[in-house]
Amino acid sequence: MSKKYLIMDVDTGCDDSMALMLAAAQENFEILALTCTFGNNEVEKTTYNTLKVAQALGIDAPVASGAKRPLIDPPMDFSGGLGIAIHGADGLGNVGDTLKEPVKEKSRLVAADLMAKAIKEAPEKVTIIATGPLTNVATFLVSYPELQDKIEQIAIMGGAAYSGNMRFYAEANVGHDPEAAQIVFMSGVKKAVFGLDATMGVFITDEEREEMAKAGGETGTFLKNCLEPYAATYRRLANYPGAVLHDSLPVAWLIDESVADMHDAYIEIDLNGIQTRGCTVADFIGITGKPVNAKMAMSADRKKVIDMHIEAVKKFADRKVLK
Amino acid sequence: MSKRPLIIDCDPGTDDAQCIMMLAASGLFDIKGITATHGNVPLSMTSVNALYLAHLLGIDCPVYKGAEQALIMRLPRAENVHGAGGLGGYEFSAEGLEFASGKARDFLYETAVECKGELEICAIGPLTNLAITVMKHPDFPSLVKKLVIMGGARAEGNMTPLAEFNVYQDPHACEIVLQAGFKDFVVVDYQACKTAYLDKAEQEKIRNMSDKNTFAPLLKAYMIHRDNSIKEAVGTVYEEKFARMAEKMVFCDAAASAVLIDESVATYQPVYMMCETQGEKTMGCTVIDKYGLSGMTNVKLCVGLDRDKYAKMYFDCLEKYEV
Repeated sequence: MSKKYLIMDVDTGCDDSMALMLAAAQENFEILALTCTFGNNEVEKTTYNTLKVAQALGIDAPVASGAKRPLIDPPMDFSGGLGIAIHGADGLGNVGDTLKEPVKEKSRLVAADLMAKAIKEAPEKVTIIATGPLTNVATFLVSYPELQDKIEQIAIMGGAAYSGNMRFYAEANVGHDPEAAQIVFMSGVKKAVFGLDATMGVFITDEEREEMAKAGGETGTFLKNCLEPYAATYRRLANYPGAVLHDSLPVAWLIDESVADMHDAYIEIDLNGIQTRGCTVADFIGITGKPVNAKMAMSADRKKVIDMHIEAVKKFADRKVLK
Repeated sequence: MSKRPLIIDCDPGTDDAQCIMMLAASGLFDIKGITATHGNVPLSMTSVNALYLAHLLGIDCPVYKGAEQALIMRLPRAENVHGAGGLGGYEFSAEGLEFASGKARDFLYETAVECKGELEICAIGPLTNLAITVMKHPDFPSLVKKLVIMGGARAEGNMTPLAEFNVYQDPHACEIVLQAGFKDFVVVDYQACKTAYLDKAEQEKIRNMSDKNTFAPLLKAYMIHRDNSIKEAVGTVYEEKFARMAEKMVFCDAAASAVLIDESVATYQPVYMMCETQGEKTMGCTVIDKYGLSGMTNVKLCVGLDRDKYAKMYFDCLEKYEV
C-alpha cells in the first residue's frame, strides 16, 4: 500500500481521539505533525489533550498549538454549551485524568509554522486532515502560499450541505470560523469535505463501544469512556442511537475511499447571512456556473467505518496508557 | 357537504394553470377569488393569464391584480421556463374579461373575515400579496384555516444552490409569512414537488388528448414548448437536467393543489423554517431546523407525495374538462 504523509489539525476532542487512533493504527500512514486549534475546547486544553492522546497511541510526531480564536468572530465561551456537554469539561469526556500525563512538551513552533516545516521536510506531498475549525489551516495557507503545491489534499471534517448542528445551517467546525473556512475553500488546494450529510450517519452504538473496549485493552477502555457523555448528549438532544464519529470519516476515507459517497461541487461559505452565516453553500449541479472546487461526501457506510475502528484498536491492546 | 372557501394566490405560469385546473375540477372548493402576483412573468401577464384561466375553467370568481413587484428584490423572470406570456406560448384572447376592482390584499383580508375562520389559501407564487396582507392586517393569519404554499427547498434549489424560485423572487415576503403565525401552514417545497411527477406514458397520454377537452389546447401548447426546451438543452450544461425532466414531468404548483384536495396524498413533518434575507450566496434559502435545535415548529413540511395517487388525481381532474 502506498505511503501517506499526514498532518492532522485537531481540537481533541472525543471524536478527534477516535480519528487519531484510526490514523495511528495504519501501517502506511506517517503522521508528520499534529497541530491544535480551539474548537471543542480552548486551545490550551485541546493541545494538552492531543499530547496525552498522541502519547497513549504512540504517535511521536511533534504537537503544536495554534489558533486561540476565530479570525473575525469573538473568542468562544468555553464555560458551557453544546461542545462542553458533548466532549466534557476537560474535552475528553471527563476521563482525560485517567490517561498518563504527557512526557513530551508541545513544539516551540506555532501550528502554521510546524505545518510548513513538516511539509518542507516531507519526501512527498502531504495530506492535511482537519477536524476542527479551519483557522490553523487558513493561517498556514495565507502564510505559505508557496507550499500549496506540496499539499496532496485537505480532508476536512466540516460543513453541511443542507443542515447544521451549531445553527440551523451552520456546522460547528465551519460555523466557528466561517472566514477561515472560506479562505480554505477559495484556495486552489484539492479538498475532500466530510460534512454532517455524511458524518451524521456514522454513529457507534453502545454495544459497539463495548466491543471496542474489549478489543482494545486500556486504549479501548479509555475511548469507550471518553465517548460516554458524547453518546448521552446525542441521545438526549436528538434521540440519536450512538456517538457520532464525525472526525473519523476523513481518516476512514483516506484508508478506503469506498466508505463515503463523494460528489463534485463548487463550495463557498456564506459569511453574511442572518440565518446562514457559516453555511457551506454547495453547488452540485452547476447552477452557479462556477467550476468544481471540492468533492463532498453525501453519505457514508456506517458499518464499514465502525468495523475499521474495532480492527484498528486491537493494535493498541497491549499498551499501558492509564495511570 | 358545503364547499370549502378558498382563495388562490398565483403567478400563472404553466404549472399554476395545472394547479388551478385541479382545484376547480375537484369540486371541493368554493373559489372566492384569484389574486395574481408578479412571479414567473410580470404581473401584467400573470394577471391576464389568471383572468383567462378562470374563464376557461369556468370558475365564477373575481380576479384581482396584486403586487407588481417584490417587497425589496428586483429580479429577472422565468419566461424561459413558462414561454413568452407565461403559458407556454399558448395564445388566447382575454377580451371582454374584467378584473375585479379593489386591492388583492384587502380582498384577502375581507374574505378571511367573512369566512369566519374557514378560509383556505393556496399560494403558489412569490408570497408578496400574502406578506402585504399580513403587514396591513396582523390578525389575518389567525383568520385563515389553512395555508398551503408551493415554495422553498430543503435541499438543492432551482435558482441558486439553496434557493427555490418562488421564495427567491421575494425572500423578505416569505420570511414575513413564515413568522406571521398561520395555524395550519403546509409548505410544499421543491423536493416534495419533484416526487409528484408524470411518467413518460402519462406524458404521452397528454400529447394524445382529444381537443374536445377544453383544457387540452393550453396543455398541448405547453407540451410543445417543453419538448422544444428539452431539445434545445442538448449540448448545453443543462442537457442532463433536461433529460431527467423528460423522464419525469413535474408541475410544481399542481403538487400544492393535490395536497389541498386530499391531505392524505402526502406525508408531512413539522419543522421550524425561516427564510434567509441577507446572505450573499444564500438569499432566499428556506432554512430548516433539521435536528430540532430550536424545539419549535411553524410549518408542516410536505415530505413527499404518493406519486401514483397524485397522477390518478391529476387525470381524474383533467377528465372533468371533457365536453
